[in-house]
Amino acid sequence: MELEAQLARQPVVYLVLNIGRGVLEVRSRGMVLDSLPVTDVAVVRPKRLLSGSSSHPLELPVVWQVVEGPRDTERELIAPETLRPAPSGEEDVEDFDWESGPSPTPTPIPSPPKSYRARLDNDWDLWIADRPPLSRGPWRFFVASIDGLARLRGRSEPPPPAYLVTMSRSDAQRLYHLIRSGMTILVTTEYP
Amino acid sequence: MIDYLGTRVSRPPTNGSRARIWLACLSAVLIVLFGGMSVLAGLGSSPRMDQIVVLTPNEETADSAEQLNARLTRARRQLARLRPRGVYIVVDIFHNKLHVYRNDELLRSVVCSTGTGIVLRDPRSGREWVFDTPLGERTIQRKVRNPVWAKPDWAFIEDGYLPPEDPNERFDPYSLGRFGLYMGDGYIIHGTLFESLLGQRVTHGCIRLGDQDLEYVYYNAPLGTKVYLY
Repeated sequence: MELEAQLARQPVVYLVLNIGRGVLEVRSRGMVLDSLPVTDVAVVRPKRLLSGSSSHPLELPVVWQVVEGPRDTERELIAPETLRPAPSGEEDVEDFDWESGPSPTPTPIPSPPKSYRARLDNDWDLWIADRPPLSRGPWRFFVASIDGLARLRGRSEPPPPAYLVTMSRSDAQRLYHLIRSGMTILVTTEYP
Repeated sequence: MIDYLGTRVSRPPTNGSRARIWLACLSAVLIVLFGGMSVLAGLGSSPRMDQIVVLTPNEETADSAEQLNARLTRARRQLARLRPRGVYIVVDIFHNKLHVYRNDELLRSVVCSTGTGIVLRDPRSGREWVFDTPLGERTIQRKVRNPVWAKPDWAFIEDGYLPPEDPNERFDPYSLGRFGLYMGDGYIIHGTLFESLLGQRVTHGCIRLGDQDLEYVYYNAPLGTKVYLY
């Protein structure tokens, strides 16, 4: 709570991931603005095919900060190649058809993804997804083969380990625009 | 097989023997493929999930229970002091909804439009604008009836026009509607000529409302009202 009191002093929106209660809350000034149920929180790491699963100790409470959000690199860009002189404002008004009104031409916005990663300040990734990655036998074998081939060609960069937060598809999409650079996430377990 | 002249001739293979040959070839290919993939899989890695084991520091070793309770009470008071009082506005950017509250009581929920998140680049300088509605807490700093929009450079560049040198060419008395509630940094809660687009992410970062809802917000949100955008 002391950590949140520090965060709440700033005029920002922050996230509180409560692992114990299985909920991720959007908060500002201590107010809960939205609450999203979390199915699971786990760690995903690249491992050798025959290595066994293990557990990952995580000391709580901890504060993570997003240093690169998924939208930082995936935004649509409008880039006109040339610019022409603007017509005068009077001409605009004269040409405007006041009877029928303006004709709206919205730019279609793509639906947010249901699985995406953001880089945290501890060099781990925060991975929001609607389901855990396929990691059963045949699939793991296939992925390891592809990775092995990439390594042989010298092109493999293993992804950083990630904290995987699983939630419903709509909630994962809902959260997408909030995972921006600078977003602070307080991870806790017992806090009410 | 030997014919009557003593020359060796080959008998055309039957369907059964053809199938056996194909099966043998296929098996060989599969064995080589599986063997190759096994070698590659041994070199590579695949993502694996591990469960998290939560460790919490044993604070009682540092502080007594009484001190802990005092710290907790202090933190609770700090948080309570930070919560807004009176009228405040909450904008849900994802669902394009604006809610007006008074002391945690919901007064009105309305449909709005928020930023597209699209990036615009100026071809002359490479300067970029991101059309995001900002997150966080803002304050209604100024309220204006019949606001006039001084169009910034991006409003011209987006349409493929050069920004005019004459400042008088930038004024637009129509686009913002009847009221404007200014939140700083050029972000405004204002009206729209495009009511059919309410509920969609179509703006350059401002918050657009329909005429009646804008009038309600204008008359019910005094100067200094806090706006929470998330």
